[in-house]
Amino acid sequence: MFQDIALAGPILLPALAALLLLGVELLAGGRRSQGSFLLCALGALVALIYTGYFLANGRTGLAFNGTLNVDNTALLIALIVHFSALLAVLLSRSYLAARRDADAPEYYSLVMAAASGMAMLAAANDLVNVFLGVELMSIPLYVLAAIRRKSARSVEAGLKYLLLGAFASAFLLFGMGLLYGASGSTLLSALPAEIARLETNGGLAAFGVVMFLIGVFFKVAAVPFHMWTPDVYEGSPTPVTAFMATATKAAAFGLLLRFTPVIATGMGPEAGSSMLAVIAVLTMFVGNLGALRQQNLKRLLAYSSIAHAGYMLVGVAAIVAEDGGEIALTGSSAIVFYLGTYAAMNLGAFGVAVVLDRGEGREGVNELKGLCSERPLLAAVMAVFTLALAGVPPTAGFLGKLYVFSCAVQARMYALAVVAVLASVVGLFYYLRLILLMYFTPREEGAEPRLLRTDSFLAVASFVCAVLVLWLGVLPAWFVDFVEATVRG
Amino acid sequence: MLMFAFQQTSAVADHVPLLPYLLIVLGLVAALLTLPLLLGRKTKNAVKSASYECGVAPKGSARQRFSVHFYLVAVLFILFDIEAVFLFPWALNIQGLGLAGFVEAVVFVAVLGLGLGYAWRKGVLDWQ
Repeated sequence: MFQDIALAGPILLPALAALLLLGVELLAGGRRSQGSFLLCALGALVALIYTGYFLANGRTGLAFNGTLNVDNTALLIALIVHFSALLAVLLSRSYLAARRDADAPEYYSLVMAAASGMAMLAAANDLVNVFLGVELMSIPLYVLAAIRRKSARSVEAGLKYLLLGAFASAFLLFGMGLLYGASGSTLLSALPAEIARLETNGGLAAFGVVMFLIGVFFKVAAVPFHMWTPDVYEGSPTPVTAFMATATKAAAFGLLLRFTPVIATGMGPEAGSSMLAVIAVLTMFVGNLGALRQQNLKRLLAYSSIAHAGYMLVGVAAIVAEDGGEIALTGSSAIVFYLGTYAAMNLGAFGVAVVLDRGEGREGVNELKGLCSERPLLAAVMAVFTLALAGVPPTAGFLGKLYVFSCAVQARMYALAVVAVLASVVGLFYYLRLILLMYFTPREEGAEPRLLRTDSFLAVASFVCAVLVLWLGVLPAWFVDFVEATVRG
Repeated sequence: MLMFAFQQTSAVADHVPLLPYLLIVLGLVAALLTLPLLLGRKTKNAVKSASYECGVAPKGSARQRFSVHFYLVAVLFILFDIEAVFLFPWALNIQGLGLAGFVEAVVFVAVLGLGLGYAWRKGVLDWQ
């Protein structure tokens, strides 16, 4: 019992923080204070340290009758989720200070509740827990997207996310029902064997897998289930967008990694991996081509996040193609490495977006013009994140792409690897445009000087991200070894 | 596996008597829709074409705003309804579940209680 609760710590600690934050709000009664910010940051930090401690000491295992499988991959994903939550909370302080309308008392509590759901999704080993995790993750995010109640864009984002998210949940549930029908089990780890045993129902299992995947694809914003992403990312408060883009992806890919054996048995390795490869190619191209024409920084980053989901799906396709064996381990560690580095660079880029925004909704790409001459440090940090998102060598973004694409080569999916490299070349254009704007385009004549204020929490967050992106890019060996060793368990 | 295949075919065979039923239903619906068209007398006037021929005449737009309180109360109702659904099986098995089960139920109710307190504080229960 206590063993179970200890193993579920990465899930329970943020949930506890969320409840405490609600309780504080109950007692404080509407008075705004720094208290909830500090309590939330502390909660995320404690969850991060706790998860890291369990990871470092190899404390893993099944909990609650096997319905939670807190293995090393789950702990690594939870680590990324709590890291994202902590940094998003640090970004939130200056954003909320500048935009009073987003400063609802529930804000921090909802962030923690969503983090709890994401950690649960990563560890869920039972279809019921998967659904619980998805909803615990999604419902707070719907509210957070719409938290600026007076802003039409924010409410539009929340409503779109809610309606399409509920629709996707229905697909997910339908898929779960069919999978249960095809196997007679709700345990994810038992599904492949049961589906193989009752193979007369092959069609049913394949249909269930596809339905389930539609729900997951919606959450990771894979084409053709990406329509909501640009609008929701643009309308949500910037720190929430950063949290959504990084932590939701990490959690959903954690689920996807655990689900790969079910895809391989339910659909067959060839059919499953070809479907994933087609989705991956579509996602990479639609994301990168869509980003080319964007004038809004948040929309641009939204399309970029779609493209990044595509890159990671390349790895998932490779894992399904081989169905077990060596590639399952290298593929999982490559995707987890990608998720970790993507979290750092994307949170950093959104942090710069918060600085440029100044609480006035200045989200245009043109806000970056001439940033280098005014704020060289900020421009340099943004350049690091942009290069990392583009996948240029001295940064971690390059290595993430390299590992994921080499998985496709390992699985002998050469065409997919070539297409993925081509897609990232397309991506270079719009990332380099941002750098061009910062370094080589002066501001218009007579533009008033910008008063960019950098909150110290935000500065620390961006600094940590930049250091991580460069460090993991230049000296990746320790992190790669760590991820590989832990994923192997 | 053979056993399973047999079960499946017998499951299909079980539903064969439903086929005439389905046909009768479809035929009845088609008949009820087409016969009045062929046999009925057609009168057209303002009263006939009103939305509710024999009811109160609709007044005003259907797109009225109504208080968000209805929604909040409905959400609270669902929450506590589901709480009851969870607590009944727990109460029936309380002896088997022991102290751990009791603590779990207390935590569950406490979390819901916190939510209720929060909703109360936010004025969800005050009806203006």
